[in-house]
Amino acid sequence: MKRKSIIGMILFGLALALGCSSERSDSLNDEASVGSVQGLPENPLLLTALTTSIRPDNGTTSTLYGNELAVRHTHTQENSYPAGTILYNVTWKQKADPHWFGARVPGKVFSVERVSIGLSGEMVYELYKGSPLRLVPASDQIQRLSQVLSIQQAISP
Amino acid sequence: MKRKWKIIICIALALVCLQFIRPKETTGSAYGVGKQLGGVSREVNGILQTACFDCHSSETRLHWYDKITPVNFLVASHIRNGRKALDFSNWDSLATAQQSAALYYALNKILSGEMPLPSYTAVHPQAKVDENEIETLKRYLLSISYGAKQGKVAPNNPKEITAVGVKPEREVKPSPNGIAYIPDYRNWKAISTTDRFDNGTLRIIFANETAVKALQSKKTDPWPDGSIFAKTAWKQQQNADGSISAGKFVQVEFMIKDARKYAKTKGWGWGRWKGDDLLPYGKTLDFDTECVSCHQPQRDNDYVFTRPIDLFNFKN
Repeated sequence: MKRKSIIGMILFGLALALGCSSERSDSLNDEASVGSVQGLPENPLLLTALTTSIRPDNGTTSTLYGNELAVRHTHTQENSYPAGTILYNVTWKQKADPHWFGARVPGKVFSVERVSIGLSGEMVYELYKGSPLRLVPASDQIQRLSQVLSIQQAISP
Repeated sequence: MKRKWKIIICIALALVCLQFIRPKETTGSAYGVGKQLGGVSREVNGILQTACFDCHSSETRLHWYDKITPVNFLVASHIRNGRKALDFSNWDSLATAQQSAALYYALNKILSGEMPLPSYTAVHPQAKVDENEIETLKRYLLSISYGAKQGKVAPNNPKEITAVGVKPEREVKPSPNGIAYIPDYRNWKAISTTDRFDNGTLRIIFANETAVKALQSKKTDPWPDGSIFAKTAWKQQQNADGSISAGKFVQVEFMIKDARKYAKTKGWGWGRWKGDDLLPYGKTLDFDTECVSCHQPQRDNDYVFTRPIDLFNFKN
């Protein structure tokens, strides 16, 4: 009987130790990851972030990402992005920052917009939406294309 | 038996004598006059007064048991440290934005359970802030946030943004703790953004290659040596279409992980550079104790507030 209880205590202690050493539950913002998107040629979040913005009217936050050509454009005086540019405007629903009252952080991804400029200058706009994200037709794609291209990049000294 | 009594009497006498030695923080008038903070509602003022003023103002109200030596020395050290961190007696000398920042900071310390100090509320249970009072503070703070004031203040002048241009090579002074400025963070990966509606800024948190690799292999507890974060803040700029974008540059803050080199500051080197001139923040060598005390509630997350977006959870 005694031995049983000792074994029980050891097992309980082990369970406690293992429980404590497991990965922190909220160390990542998993919800805000892009997940699986069929047909999206690159992982937008691994490109360079050029600026961020919010829309208080629909509670979203967007970050504009660009490839190296787009980044280089930010260092020049040129008005338009060069051929070969790839831009992504990723939009998330905002959520309250659980660790700072006074802040909002990205929640679920709401949409991914991709703008590319081909070698002969042709511009393509694509919109990915839904859960999981997939390519959907955009009724206002010409307008959105020019809007994404006109987003001012955040300046830092 | 006789000897035992002698010892007890000696101790009692010593205690009585000790009562003549008192720290100055506990010798003032017993009850200070309740201070009404300018611009703050009575209800909120009442909560702050009960929960914070004893240590965070000169309106210290002491009970008889707080004044007994040696307890009063512990009380006095709480008061000294408290006033150093935040002193509501200086309220009127703060600009509105600083007042708002102080209150947001205070509420977040309450929410994290750090304040009021548990050792203080154990003896002064009335200082505990209950759920209703927290809701009152939250409502009040939302009403004074930068976002709530948007209708009242003019949008930032778009001209504040400097034209895109080739960046000149510049000399940036190191932080007072010796940490050097790191110029190339804009090419790092963005691990999150924040909309700080409390003070009207937008932020991008960039992570260097070491930190991103740790994120990829999910080995961020703790972050490995060599990990660096750059939190960059811009003023929120209102646009005609209702959106808000990153306007004028405010500051960039770095956290540099080296568990041994920065053991004194929780394993991180801290630095902040402000404005277009990138002036290093802080006046003294140990200014970074301020950084550590703000990040203290995140001690179980290696002192990092940001929960990175899982950049690698992507399939095509």
